[in-house]
Amino acid sequence: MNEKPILSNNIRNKITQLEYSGLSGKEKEIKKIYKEATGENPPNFKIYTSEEMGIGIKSGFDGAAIHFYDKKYNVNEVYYVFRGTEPSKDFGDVIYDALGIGAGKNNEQINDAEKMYEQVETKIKGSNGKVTRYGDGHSLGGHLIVTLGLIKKNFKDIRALNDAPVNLKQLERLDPKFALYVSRREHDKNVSPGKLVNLANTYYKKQKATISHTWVKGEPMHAQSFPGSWYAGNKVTMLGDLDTEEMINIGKYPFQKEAKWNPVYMIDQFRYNLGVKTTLGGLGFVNDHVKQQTLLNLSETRDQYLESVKRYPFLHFGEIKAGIGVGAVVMVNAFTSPGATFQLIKGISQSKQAKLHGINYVVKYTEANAMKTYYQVFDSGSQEEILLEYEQMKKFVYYCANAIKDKVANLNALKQYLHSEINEVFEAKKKKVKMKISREEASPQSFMEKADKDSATLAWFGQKRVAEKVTFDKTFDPLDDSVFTPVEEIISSIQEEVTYYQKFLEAFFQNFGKMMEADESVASDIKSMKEVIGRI
Amino acid sequence: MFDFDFTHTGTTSGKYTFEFDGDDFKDEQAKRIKELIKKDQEVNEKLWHAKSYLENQTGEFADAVKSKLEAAERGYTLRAQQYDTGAFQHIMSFMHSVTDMHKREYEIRYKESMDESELT
Repeated sequence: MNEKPILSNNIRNKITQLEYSGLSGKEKEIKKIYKEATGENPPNFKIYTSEEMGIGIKSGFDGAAIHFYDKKYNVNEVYYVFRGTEPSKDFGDVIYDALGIGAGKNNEQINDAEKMYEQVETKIKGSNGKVTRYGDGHSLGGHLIVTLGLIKKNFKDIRALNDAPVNLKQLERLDPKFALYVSRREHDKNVSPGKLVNLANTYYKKQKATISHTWVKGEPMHAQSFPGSWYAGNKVTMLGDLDTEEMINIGKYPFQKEAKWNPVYMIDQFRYNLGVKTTLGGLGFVNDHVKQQTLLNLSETRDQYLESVKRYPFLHFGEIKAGIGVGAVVMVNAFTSPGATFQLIKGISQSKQAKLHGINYVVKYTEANAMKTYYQVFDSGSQEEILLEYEQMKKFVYYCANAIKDKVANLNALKQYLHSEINEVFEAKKKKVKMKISREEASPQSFMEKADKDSATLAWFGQKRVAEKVTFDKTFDPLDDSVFTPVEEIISSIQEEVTYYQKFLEAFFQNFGKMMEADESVASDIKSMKEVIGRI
Repeated sequence: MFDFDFTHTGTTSGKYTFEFDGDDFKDEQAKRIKELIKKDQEVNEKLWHAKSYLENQTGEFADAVKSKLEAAERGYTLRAQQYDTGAFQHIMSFMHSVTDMHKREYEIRYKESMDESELT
């Protein structure tokens, strides 16, 4: 079996893009994409689509599978490609986004995805050799392929593009083994979303390593979160202009830090979160009580209703009045809430970024190689998945380690100054004084005339005085403590700083290593990095 | 005839100060210790600058690392003054000790006589 997949990321993106017009009968286009990228013809392949299988008509699910099979060259790979949200074409997808993912209630599309998977697997069963499975999906399709991959646990590589997250409550219902795992660890039926994410991170450790996300910086989908949302996977590749600001996260109160200590924000955060919960609960309620067909036709029904209001306003007077009332309450609530006002203003200013969600931008930026890869890790402090740029972190570690090494070297220079240099300077000065003494002692007369002029001149009248010998006190007092103490204090303070930084780096390593342990190659890299730092 | 012997020996003592340029010494030593302290500050600045590698990192982990370095930076501001004061005290004490070392006690043994020939 070939280690390297037949399709590169670039080709896979283009096929995902092509899936938007359906892959049925698109052999020619796929061959063209492959040839343009590799200069060669692809191995034999067969396309399977949900449309041909009659799957997804009701739910709006749309997916395909391409099976590359060549016994001679030992090729046996299947690529599952799932389409994403298309508001203009299929309103069902949007409903699924809101209900299925946010409220975790609607399983219709994932059930269809699983149905299609089973049928494809049955069809390719006859092929010799072990089949290797790959998965790609954009937006909602990303959510579906990742969810499917977690349930099936047999994909080699899954790429989710500008994808919606997995809903862990939904996953718990879909994957009985995960549900059992959760129930064995948590006796309370209402497991908190944070705990659920923690458990999922452990349970799906192996699968996580096969999943990656590709997001265009600033597109709206990946910025969103809701209780129980989870972007399973260890790597995230950011595309496009990396300076683009991330879009607002509607599900997250924007002043969380301030709300920790400011009562105004605290109350506002409570109101805000309640609003998000109510909205999700409401969507779940709608899903439970409204027929799917009605929801799928919602756009049509809405247009008909608005037309009726325009034509016969008096018939709808009550509803208009109620509408204005509800609208006013929403407006008042929004504008008296700092969090909601902030989100509203920010959202308006970022509205142009919505277009970045499209698959076209993923294809464009991947081709332009405008990308940076991040590692997605679980931050135990915030209990959230965060993105870390491993190379930058690595640079940070080496930079710190070298700086600490310089600090230790400088501390040693200071110690050297204290224990040797001061005494050397003192001894040198002593030596000079001794030499001067010797010179004076060698010429007592001249010294006497210089030093003891009075004795020399006021000798008895008529008498002459001659210096026979000059003796100096050659004992030297040691240096006073006050010369050393201030330097000793500086050294001990800097020593404390060194210890602080060493402990800081050690703690950093401990946390960093734990966070990155999911990725084996990174974990071993950190281990060797630790050894190098130890030698530094 | 009396033989008046006016030749005798005696001693005289005092303190002699050898020439020493204290200011020069002070400047030289100040330069050295300040150089060592400045170097330490430069290393610290390098450590605080490490934050820039975390600029694009998100989450509380990176925030905690950044705030640790920021706390170290804030703490240092106070210590830097103590280091300057300590260095100054050290230099002044050192200069005084070395200056004092140049003040030496001596004793001169001499011979006195009216008869010059006695003195040669």
